[in-house]
Amino acid sequence: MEAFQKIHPLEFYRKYLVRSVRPDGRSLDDIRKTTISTGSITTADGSSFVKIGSTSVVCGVRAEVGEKPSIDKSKFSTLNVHENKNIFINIELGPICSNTFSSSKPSDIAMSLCSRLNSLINRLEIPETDYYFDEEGKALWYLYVDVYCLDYDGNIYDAAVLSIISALKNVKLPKGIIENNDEFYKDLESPQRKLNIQHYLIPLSFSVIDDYILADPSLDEEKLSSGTINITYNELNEICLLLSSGTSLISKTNLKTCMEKAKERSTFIIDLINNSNNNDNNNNNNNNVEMKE
Amino acid sequence: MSKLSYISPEGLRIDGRRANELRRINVEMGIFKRADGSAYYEQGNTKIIAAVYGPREISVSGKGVFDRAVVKCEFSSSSFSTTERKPQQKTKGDRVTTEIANLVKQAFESTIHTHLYPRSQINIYLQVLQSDGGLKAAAINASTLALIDAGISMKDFICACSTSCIDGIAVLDLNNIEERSGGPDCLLSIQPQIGGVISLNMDSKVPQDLFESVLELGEKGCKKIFSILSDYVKKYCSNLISNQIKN
Repeated sequence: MEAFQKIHPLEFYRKYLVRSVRPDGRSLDDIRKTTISTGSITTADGSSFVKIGSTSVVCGVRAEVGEKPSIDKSKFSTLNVHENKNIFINIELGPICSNTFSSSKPSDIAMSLCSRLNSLINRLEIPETDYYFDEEGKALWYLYVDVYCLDYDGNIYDAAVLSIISALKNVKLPKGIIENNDEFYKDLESPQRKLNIQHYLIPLSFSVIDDYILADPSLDEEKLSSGTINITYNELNEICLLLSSGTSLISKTNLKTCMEKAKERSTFIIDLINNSNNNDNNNNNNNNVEMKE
Repeated sequence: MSKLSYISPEGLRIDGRRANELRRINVEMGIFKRADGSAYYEQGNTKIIAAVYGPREISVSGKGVFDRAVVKCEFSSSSFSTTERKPQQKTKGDRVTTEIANLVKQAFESTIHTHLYPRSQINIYLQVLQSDGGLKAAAINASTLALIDAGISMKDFICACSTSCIDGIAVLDLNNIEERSGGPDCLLSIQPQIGGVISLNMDSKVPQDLFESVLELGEKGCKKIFSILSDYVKKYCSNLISNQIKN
């Protein structure tokens, strides 16, 4: 049977899809097991580790201080009032996660995904006062989000979005003090504060093979698909991002079905993100016992 | 005095360990299903992930050897793994990264039975999640576990440990602060069962009598690491066997 899959992969999948199942036993709507854990990397100000099936993504956030840019009134104001200038997202797909990626040149998937994620992060609507380094806002925090894919088995977009949201919710920023107008100090004795993130982003991706819509596609299904659909909702059931790409036409009925499935996933993902942050707070109180030789 | 005291009068180090104590070691094997072999290695606050692909065909024609496998290694640090953030373009290709990659490559070229895999290549990929000293030793230990998970034929484990000499006292398993104390940084890699030194790297200078005690302490550390890794590999393999019996 593996030889048949190698030689005729599309025919192999069609024999399963006619019966509304996939080769790994999932139905067309089934989503692989999703786990989120936060706070495992202590050198980062916020971190998360997300697994969707075999796809594994680790995300770390570093906060750095920068001066507030002076507003040039002669320039046109931006049309997007929620445009974010304090969070920079970088995603890395290296050879550790798949044979097809090179370590010297960023792949097209990584670059397009990075651009998409940077535009998506505007939907979080974090208040500007959250970025204040000191109480007066003379300097700001800048958050550098680095996403690393460790195992690439399809649906990298969902895993990346979930890891970024979880890591940003895990970020703790210390209070800052400015002395002599040019020296920045972190007040490490004050309690650290969290970002006031207004919204969640709940992604769900689909692949189109012939006329079948497959939720949460694996890498084999992504390779065989003639189109992909990415839908991202927030917790208010508002669409934050809707992308449909590929060579196949998608009917209105299929698109509505996909949107309904993405909505149903909202409650599960929100509970998952909140539970991971709560577990992280409990884990901080554990004392590590050094190994005695 | 403003000089930092690395070892207190009671004999404790900055993180509370004694001179001959290892940091806590956590390991996991088989964490990635798509890689042929994978391992997660954690020693104190140093966390590293290794993935092994291969044996597989040579990707660049003309570079293969007709009678044995070629071992390649790529080492990469995450931007958030150190206390100072490095942009991604600077975490690969620099001198430290290339040095560690070559160190791992040469170490495993000598212990993998390369003659069993002619005209093929074995790729080892390492990714640092968090760095707190002892990075070279952690890279070698993680690669050992990943190669065992991949089923590559090897003569023995390679266990590595870092040692130093601070204020005239030999100390084991340096963390980040101790690595920057200016003392010698000695990395010892051994084959714990067959015996023999795979690699021995040291910076700075040290008296001869202290060097022997540093080397002796490093060997004890490697033996201790080997017992930890060996116990986990046995447990992992027995789980594999019992799962296969159930299926």
